[in-house]
Order: sequence, then structure tokens, then C-alpha cells
Amino acid sequence: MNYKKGLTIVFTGLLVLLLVSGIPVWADDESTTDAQVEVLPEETGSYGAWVIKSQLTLFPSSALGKPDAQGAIILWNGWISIKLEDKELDVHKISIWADNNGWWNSLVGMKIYVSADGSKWTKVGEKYISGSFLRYDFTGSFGNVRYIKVSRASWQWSILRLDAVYAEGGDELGVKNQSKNGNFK
Amino acid sequence: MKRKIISVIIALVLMMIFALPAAAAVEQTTSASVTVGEVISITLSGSIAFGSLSPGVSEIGATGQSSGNPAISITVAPETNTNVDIGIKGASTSGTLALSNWLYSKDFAKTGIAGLTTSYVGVYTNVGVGDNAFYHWITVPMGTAPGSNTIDVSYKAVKTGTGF
Repeated sequence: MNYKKGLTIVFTGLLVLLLVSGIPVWADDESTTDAQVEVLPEETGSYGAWVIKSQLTLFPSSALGKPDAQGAIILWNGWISIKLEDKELDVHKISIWADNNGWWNSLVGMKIYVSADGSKWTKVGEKYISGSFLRYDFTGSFGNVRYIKVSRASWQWSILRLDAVYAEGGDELGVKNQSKNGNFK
Repeated sequence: MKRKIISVIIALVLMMIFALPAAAAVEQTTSASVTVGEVISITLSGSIAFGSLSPGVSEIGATGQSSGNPAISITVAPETNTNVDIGIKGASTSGTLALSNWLYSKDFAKTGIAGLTTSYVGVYTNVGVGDNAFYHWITVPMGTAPGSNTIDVSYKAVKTGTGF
């Protein structure tokens, strides 16, 4: 008992001695802030990235990228071929955004082709375009699509504008998410 | 006769007590000491935000960041009386984006760019009073789940050489 009491006294004494004589205490300072990022849903498709060739088409580069309500004007029987962004996709849907402003409420036919190499084209469908910008979809098993060609198929006097082209692969969830975020009109 | 002698002696004693000039001097010295403590003070200015990003992008700079205008500036305040080392660390608070995708460098040219870690990593060493820049970038890999991601970024200054 006395032994323990002695140790306690010695220990306490040492502590007091250290405190009085000055234990080295390093000063420091710290500041914190937060950092934020909102991660958007992954895009499961590819928009137009380069104009390969066009005929009777004004402002062809306006058909590249995401829809922005500005488009390449395709005259009479003009056409435009577009290379898509570099993505390996097993495409199941092709979408185009276009509008048509005619003098007689005309419907203007538009033919859509796809290609993996830019030389061998496969027709995926045909639509009649009328009124303000809308998205027109063509579904099917298109495989690896790297190029989309849009050809006007009528001679009416009207302004046909191609806003964007899009090849979609992946699952349906991605499509729904993109719609929620306003990427699709 | 005896009486006269005694009177003279008393007179002499009185003279010694009251009339003798004090020739001796006494000096004593004591010591006084004070220990000046180290003061380290930093202030943080700026903010880190990246807006909305799609997966598949890398090293996107923080909003408003440009050469000479870092996202964050850590100022060693004038009251700091010792040179300091400044370190950085991160802690995820929400989202799935790994901490290593939140990048930093002390210059806009991305010298020594690195991802944040959960313990402090020294960025500046032996700096005095003044501003210290921290530039920030982010990488969002493909496959990152959509949603909001937030982290806390901490900056710490310690006396040079003492460690974080």
C-alpha cells in the first residue's frame, strides 16, 4: 500500500514538474470546406461528331452534337452523312431531330441510312417531317453504327432543318434517365 | 573621572550609529523568464464546386478556377510567428465517387496533381505569412452512379517539421 502511494506521489510530482517546466506543445490550425459535384446519368448513345459529306445542305455542322433547336438546312434532294462520336455501341435505336416549315403545310420525306464504315449504307426507315422540331425514332437491331446519313426525299418548297442525329445502345434505363434530364425533346 | 570616560564612550557609540557615512553596498539579482508560445493561424477563402458532369470525364477544373485564381487560397495570418507546413485531406460525406477522384495541385499547371486521401498529405513546406494556392479538379469515371457527391476538404498548418 505504501509502495503504491509512493509511486503515485512520484508520478504526480513528475507530471507537475513537466507541466511547470514546459512540455513542448505544437500549435496548429485547420480549416475545412466542402466540395460538390452532381453526376449525371451515363449516356448510352452517340451524337453526331463530324460531317463527312453533304450535298445541297446549308450550315451542315449545325446537325452535330445534342439537339439545340438549330439545324442544318437540307434543300430539295440534298443529303448529309455524319460520323458519330467514338463509342462502340450495339445500336437498337436511331433518332433524328428535325423540323419543316413549308409554304403549303407540306410533309417532307426524309430517308435515314446507317453504316459501320461510311461506305456501305443500310436504310433504316423513312419519315415525313412536319412542323416544329421533333424527335423521330427508328428501332431495330442495327449493330455497330458509326455513321448516319439523312437524305431529303422531296422537292417541295420548304425549309427542312436537321438538328441532331443519335444512335442509342445499352439498356432502356439510360434512355429514361436522359429524358428526365431534358436531353431529349 | 570614571563618569567622564563613560560619557565619552557613549558619545562615540552614538556618533558611530548616527554619524558614520555608510560605505558598504549590497546587491541582489533574480531572474525573470517568459516562454513565448507558437501561434499558427490560417484562413480559408474560395470554394470548390464542379456543377453537373457526365461519367467519362477526367480532370475537370473547379468552377471559376483559372491560372492565378485558385479554387482555394489558404492564407497564413500575420499573427503566425513560425514557419509552417500546410497539408490537405478529404472525407467523403455523400455519394459514391471515390476520394481519389477529387484531385488537387498547388499550381494551375497540375504539378504533382494527386487525389485526396483520408489523412493529411503535405503540400507546402516551410512557408511564412502569405497566401498558398490550392487548385482542384475532378474525374468522374464511366460507371459512376448518378447523383450528388459531396466531400469535406480540410487544410492544416503545423510548425515546420513537426508532422501532421
